[in-house]
Amino acid sequence: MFSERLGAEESRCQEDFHGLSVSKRLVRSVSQKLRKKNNNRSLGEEEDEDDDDVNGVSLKCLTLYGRGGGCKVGADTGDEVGDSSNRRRSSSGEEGKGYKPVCGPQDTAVVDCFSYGVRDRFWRRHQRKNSEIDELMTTNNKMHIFLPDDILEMCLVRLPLTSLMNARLVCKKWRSLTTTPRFLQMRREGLYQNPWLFLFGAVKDGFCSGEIHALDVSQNQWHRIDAGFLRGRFLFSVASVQDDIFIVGGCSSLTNFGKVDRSSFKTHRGVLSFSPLTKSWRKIPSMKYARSIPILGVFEVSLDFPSYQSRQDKRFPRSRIGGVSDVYEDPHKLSMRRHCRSTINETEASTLPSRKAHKFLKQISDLSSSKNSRRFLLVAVGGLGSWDEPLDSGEIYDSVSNKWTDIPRLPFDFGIACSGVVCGKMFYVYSETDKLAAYDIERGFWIAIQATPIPPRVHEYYPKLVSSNGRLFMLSVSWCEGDGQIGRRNKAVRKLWELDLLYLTWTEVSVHPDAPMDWNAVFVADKNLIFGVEMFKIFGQVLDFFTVCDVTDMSNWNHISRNHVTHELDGSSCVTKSVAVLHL
Amino acid sequence: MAQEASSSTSSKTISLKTGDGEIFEIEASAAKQMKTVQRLIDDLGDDITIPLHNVFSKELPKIIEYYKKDITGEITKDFEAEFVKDLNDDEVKVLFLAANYLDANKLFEFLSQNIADRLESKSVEYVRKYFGVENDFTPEEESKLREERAWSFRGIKEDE
Repeated sequence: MFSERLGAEESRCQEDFHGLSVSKRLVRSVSQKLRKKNNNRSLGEEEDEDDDDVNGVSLKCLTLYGRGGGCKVGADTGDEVGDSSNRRRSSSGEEGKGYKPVCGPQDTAVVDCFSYGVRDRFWRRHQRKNSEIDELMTTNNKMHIFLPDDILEMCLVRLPLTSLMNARLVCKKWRSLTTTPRFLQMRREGLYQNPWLFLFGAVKDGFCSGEIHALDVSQNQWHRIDAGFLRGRFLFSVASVQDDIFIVGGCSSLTNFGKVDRSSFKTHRGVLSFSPLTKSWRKIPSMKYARSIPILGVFEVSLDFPSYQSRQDKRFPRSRIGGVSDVYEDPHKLSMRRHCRSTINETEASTLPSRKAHKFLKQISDLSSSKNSRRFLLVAVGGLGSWDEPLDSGEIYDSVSNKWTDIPRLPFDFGIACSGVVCGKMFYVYSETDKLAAYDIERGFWIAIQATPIPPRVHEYYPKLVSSNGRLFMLSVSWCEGDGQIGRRNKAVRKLWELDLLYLTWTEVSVHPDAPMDWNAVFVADKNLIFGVEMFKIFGQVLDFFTVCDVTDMSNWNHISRNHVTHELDGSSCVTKSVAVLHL
Repeated sequence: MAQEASSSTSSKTISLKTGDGEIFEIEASAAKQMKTVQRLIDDLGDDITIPLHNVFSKELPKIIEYYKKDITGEITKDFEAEFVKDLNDDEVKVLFLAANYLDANKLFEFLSQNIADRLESKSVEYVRKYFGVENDFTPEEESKLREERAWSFRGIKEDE
């Protein structure tokens, strides 16, 4: 239509537009409109499409300059006549104030049509007439640049954590959009989260600084969190529980506060919960016994799982040591019990209290399900007591009752527990004397597990249990043949083993690529990934090595983060370190 | 364009008319992937040109190209990378809005991921500019919030 008339103007417009990557249609309509403005000085009768283009133009101008029309979709919020606050926010300076002429017949630089003043002039002209159009804009998607909230959410939910935290600073609406429980749940369920490793126990210049080093695995970026509440505490254990990390037990020096001083120290019963997302912490009821380096396990259970509180009424005649369990005594009754568990219709009289507890829990579950909370149980066994004596007691924390309850002691001849992990419905614990036991969370007793032995391990390296994807693994250092040294087992190698839970046999899965320099290497797993953290001091420096293995792709251990974030730390950090992994 | 309503061969094409009046043809199987189009076909019949007021001749060819690949099962990572490579930020948003309007799920998911990727590790200012959003925090509020989030600000990429 107007194309013949535009001619030179258009080509000039086009050159400049080109640099801004604007479509030809837009160019034509801009030139068209601006010409009209100049000639007519009134909006006149324009077709709907032109209006939209016009609005498209001005708002596109806006976007190209990043001047927001506010957070409302399409609506030119805040652009009332003479809305000085909007103009004040423009940082493009005062050159627009002069209201330079628009591009068109005059021989001015086309870029002027994007200068602030002209844009404002458009705004003031348009807003009067276009409030209805704006209504239309909000509802239909002709506003090509502004995204409606619901689909904006679909983009934000996919952001990795650090970018998401930035998104929360964009404006108030975005902040509330990205912090609703629904949004967070969508993020969790859509598997848009990535693993984060949290390294605790950093000791600097002799002091337990309470620094937490966090590794964003997907971005391979380190962050440091100052956790003052941990200052002075060492040899605690950590466990990841949903989106928080529980810090359990530990010691602190009595004489030299803050220092790792094992000569005179106090062992704690206290438990803390740390939320990395909000950088906040809260106190959890203390354990019944003071423990340092307890073995921890986390069970996520359904809300109608019988409360551990009520189990105190049940009699535990003695801890069930050895391999004898109810299964072999009374299979039928057990299977009946299992079948009826969902209806809580157990025949034993002693279950009456638990039935009441169940009803009570049902009420709680109605309340808490509306708050979208998930229930968990945290088991703590073993560790060292107030006089550094090894403990064989255990206790369990129930998030619903918010209390710790005793559980039976470790089996009699088990030895000192050195590692443990939850796998399925069992809490497996490994001892320094190579015994394996499992605590059945539902039935509340220990079972000794006779598994085929693994090759003799290097004595100082206690094996570590990890569980991933419902499978049970162990990392153990053993001797094997050195290169070229056939028959002579003089090379120490760390291997990953898997326990077949049905046949109770250990099978070698893969070999860890690093020479085992750290006898206190920590291994944690989340979903299908097993992370390994080794720290040791060499040549006067503390080095750290982070590795990861995907259990669905067994042959490879990969190194992550060779940044050696710990090089400033003391060597004792190797002993005090503990690691938790979260999906954030 | 007289097609028998009863015939449903795989080579059947549907005509789509964009908001700016251009007509494009797509295969019926591709149209099925765009639920909005499918609904209109169900209501209006498949021998009528389906009007799409909110999609324009700039975006629709790209969308058609995507679904052409999809029905032959050829969408690979390379294809997807190529698909978005030359799109600038605004074009991605336009396509994304169109995919939303057309209820074209696969493309929608893909583009939402692409937009998220474009925002990754960018500064707050960049994100505001990208979406044309204004900062409505007061300076005090903002500095307080940044303080709280301090540990997430390292490693920001330079704004392009």
